[in-house]
Amino acid sequence: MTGRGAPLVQEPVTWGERQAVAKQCAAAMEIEHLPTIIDEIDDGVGAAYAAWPDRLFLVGKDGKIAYSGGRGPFGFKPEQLSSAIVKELTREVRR
Amino acid sequence: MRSALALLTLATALCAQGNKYSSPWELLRGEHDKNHDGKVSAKEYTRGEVRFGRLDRNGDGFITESDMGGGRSGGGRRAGGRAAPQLSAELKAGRCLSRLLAAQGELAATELDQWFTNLDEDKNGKLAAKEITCVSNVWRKQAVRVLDKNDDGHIDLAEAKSGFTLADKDQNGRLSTAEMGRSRRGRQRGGGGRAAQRAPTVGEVAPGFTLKTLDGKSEVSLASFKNKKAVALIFGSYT
Repeated sequence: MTGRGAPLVQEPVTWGERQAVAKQCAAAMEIEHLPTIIDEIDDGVGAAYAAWPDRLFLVGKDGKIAYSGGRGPFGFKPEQLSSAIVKELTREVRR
Repeated sequence: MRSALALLTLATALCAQGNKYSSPWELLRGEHDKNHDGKVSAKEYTRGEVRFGRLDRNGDGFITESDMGGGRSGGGRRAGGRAAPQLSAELKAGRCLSRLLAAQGELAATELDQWFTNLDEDKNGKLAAKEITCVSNVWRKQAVRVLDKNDDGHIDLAEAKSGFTLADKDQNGRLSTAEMGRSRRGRQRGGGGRAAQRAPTVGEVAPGFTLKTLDGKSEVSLASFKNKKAVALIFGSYT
């Protein structure tokens, strides 16, 4: 598919198919060590966060949004999330 | 030391984006233009028909720089900004209704029979959800749920025509993309449908969820982290 060597995949129509795709991606991206959860096939959580295709958020301990990134690929900025995490954890330490 | 941060990746799955290209077109061309002809065909594009249809704005069967907003459009824009439809025979004969609608702006009742036949891959005279290609899973499931009047889990041609008539608000025998959009919103029953997509902003309560893990053996609930840990959410898609 791409230079990343990932295989071609069909768009899933069941949760099980989506799970299989997610496993493929986790293996291809070597992120199997990261806790991954899978949205239902109706894309409910993705819609609630307007997350398609890629997006980053930080939810604070208080359950509120502490960082809301832009839509990917060009709004997908891991360095901003990293800064937000440091800020959030520092805020917690100071309490 | 116990971690103060939980990290969740949300799938379909994560593919981090490279950042060595100077524009969205350069990124897409770098990834998909295998024969280096300066355009990306449907065969070269490997992220699914739905996405290809969205990017191929003039419906000529290729994603080009002009589709991505750079350079002059090869489609010859009319006054008012709408591109003249340039429909390839392949597009008309194909199964991607959303691309056809994006290109010509409407579907005529006289074209419905042909599109039904195109979508009916197993030629059993009925459409299963899987056969409704080139649209999102949400719309696919909603279409079957609403149009399937006899509850057999499929849409037959009569049910499709009935749905067309209901959605054709101005009764002109043509279904516009605006009418499709109104029809789709109307199918969101009892307020439980998906709201217009707006990301939650800083300070808002994060939308809650409970979703299964990658191995399918357990569930994770956002609420379980409240007052315990901050949570980093990494949304990604792979198809």
